[in-house]
Amino acid sequence: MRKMNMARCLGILLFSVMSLWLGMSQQTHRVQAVQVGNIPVDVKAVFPENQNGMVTGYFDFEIASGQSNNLTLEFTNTADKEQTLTVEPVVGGTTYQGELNYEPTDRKADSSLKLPFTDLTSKKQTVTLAGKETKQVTFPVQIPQTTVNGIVLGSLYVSSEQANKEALKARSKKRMKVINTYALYFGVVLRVNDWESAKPDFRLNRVVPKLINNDPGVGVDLQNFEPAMIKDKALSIKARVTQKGSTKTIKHYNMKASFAPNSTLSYPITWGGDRITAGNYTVHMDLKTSDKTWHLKRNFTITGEQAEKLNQANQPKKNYMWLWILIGILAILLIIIFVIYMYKRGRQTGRQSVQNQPQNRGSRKKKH
Amino acid sequence: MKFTKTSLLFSTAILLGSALTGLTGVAQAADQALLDKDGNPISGVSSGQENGAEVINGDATAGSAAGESTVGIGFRAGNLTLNQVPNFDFGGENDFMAQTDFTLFNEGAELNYTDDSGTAPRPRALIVTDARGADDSGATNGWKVSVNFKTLLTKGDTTLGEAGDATAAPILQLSSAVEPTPVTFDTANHDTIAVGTTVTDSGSPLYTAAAPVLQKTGVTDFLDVPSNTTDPTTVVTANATQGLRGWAVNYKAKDSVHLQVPIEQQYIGVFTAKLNWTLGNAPA
Repeated sequence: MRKMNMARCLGILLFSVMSLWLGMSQQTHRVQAVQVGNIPVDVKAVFPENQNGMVTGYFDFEIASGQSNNLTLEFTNTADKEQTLTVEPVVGGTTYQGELNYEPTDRKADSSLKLPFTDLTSKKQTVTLAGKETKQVTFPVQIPQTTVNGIVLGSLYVSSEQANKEALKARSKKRMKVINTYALYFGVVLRVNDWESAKPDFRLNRVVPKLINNDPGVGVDLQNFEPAMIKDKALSIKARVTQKGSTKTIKHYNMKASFAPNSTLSYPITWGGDRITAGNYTVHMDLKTSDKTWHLKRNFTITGEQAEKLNQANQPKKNYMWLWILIGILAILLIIIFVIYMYKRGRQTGRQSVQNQPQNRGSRKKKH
Repeated sequence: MKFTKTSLLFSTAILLGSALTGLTGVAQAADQALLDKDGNPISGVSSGQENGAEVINGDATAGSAAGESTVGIGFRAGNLTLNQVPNFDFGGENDFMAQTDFTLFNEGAELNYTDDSGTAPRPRALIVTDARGADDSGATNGWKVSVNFKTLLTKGDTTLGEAGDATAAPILQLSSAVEPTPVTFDTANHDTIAVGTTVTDSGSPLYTAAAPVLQKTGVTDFLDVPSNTTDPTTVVTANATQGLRGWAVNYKAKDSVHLQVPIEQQYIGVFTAKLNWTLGNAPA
């Protein structure tokens, strides 16, 4: 009977300790959404005279070695409040999705890139608009004396640092929160010299073991080292990985891609839910456009250490909370037992003290 | 601070009551709207950001899912505009350490829903209006909306997880099964959204083209937006014949957007998920 009570007691204890802990771990967790104020500014491209007549949305024109031209954006503040915008020239690239990228990234300039757009025009400009003001901002483009024939791809990227800062400032100290910031860009296509003579060409560079959406995998650097671009996902890519010397496909991934001139696509091949194992591998890539095909391959090695790191990365870290709880419960139990023991002993001692027994003998004995 | 304690006690109390049946359904006491003198919620104003409440344009009971983010930065009116981006709220009292997959806090509003009191809760939608190409110039124009997902530590703008390294990073997953809906977005009339139908008659060229295309990852129904790449992720694209006039992608369902946060990142502490939405006008 007493044993049962004890068990019940333990149950309640366990229960409340756990609840307290869970309650604590829960209370800070909310993901927030925060608004960003309006940026009431219209932006319009003002095209040069030789703009490709078929293109009305972005800059696209021919330009020869030594020539210059202007890229102009017209801003209109539709509100009464002053607005500040930033316009930044960006080098065009290719994303891991096989999309043309016109947004700033941390990537280094491509090793094959001879005419980066950012070297041909002015630096980032800030434009401040009074209420209802309309203002033009010009980026002069100057092509140096060059024998390069091909396309220079880039963009004028417009954002509001002011609004982005406000959004960031709205962050509270909550655990997780989602904020939105905004930007837009106008593409820039400069067709330099005899640009039509350039044709895309590809090679495989590094193979980097990495996490692809938190699963083990590799990123294969596929580079277009010519100043020619592929639009509208006209490049089809079939990639597969085999053990070195084997023909058996371990993993494969296909993609339709666009490709910026002189750019590198970090081609993702994931092992999915499977573990990646150390060893020597070969990646085979078949590329196809309407008029050309490429068969590329490259060997790579995954070391035991790399494999281990990737396989472990998405595993939950060991959580020793249960151990602390257990220790806590045991400690409380010990205290309770001790208290009960002392109480009973106290009653006994009370009786014994009548018989003139020293009070502390028993407890000293207990220690050994 | 006072609230936090209450919340802790509250959740503890509820847990005491329900721990055996699981850790679900902790009360949403946090969501309190700031009300104006008539008792109506004030748009865009939250009562204490520290509680995670944000009431947007709608009534308090509809909750905060229908986040409004009206974007005024755009091309000249009448051309190409990013009217609105969805505001993702993964709120709710989630079981933090035991969970890595978070869905949206609650159901969003329909695109053209108006409640009895005449208020229209803002749907959790991405809306783009392309009014170019209405002439017969044969001009080739498309557009693209991409999102760049960064998770920032509270101090500074440091990003969690390095591209190419072996650190598991948060991933945002957007449903690609949501049907883009033709709409008109009336900026002159309180940003009213009206749902239209696809019309191919050039005599009434309100919606003259095919829907824009939602991107997805592999063969799944979701687009994975990783936070550990510096590349932006393309969400929706339209070529010259697609996405003309207004189109909305309404992430209405709770599970139309997921946020995956690896356990090890949850140990790091406070961070902000920053979504930079970019409207692009360039060769695709």
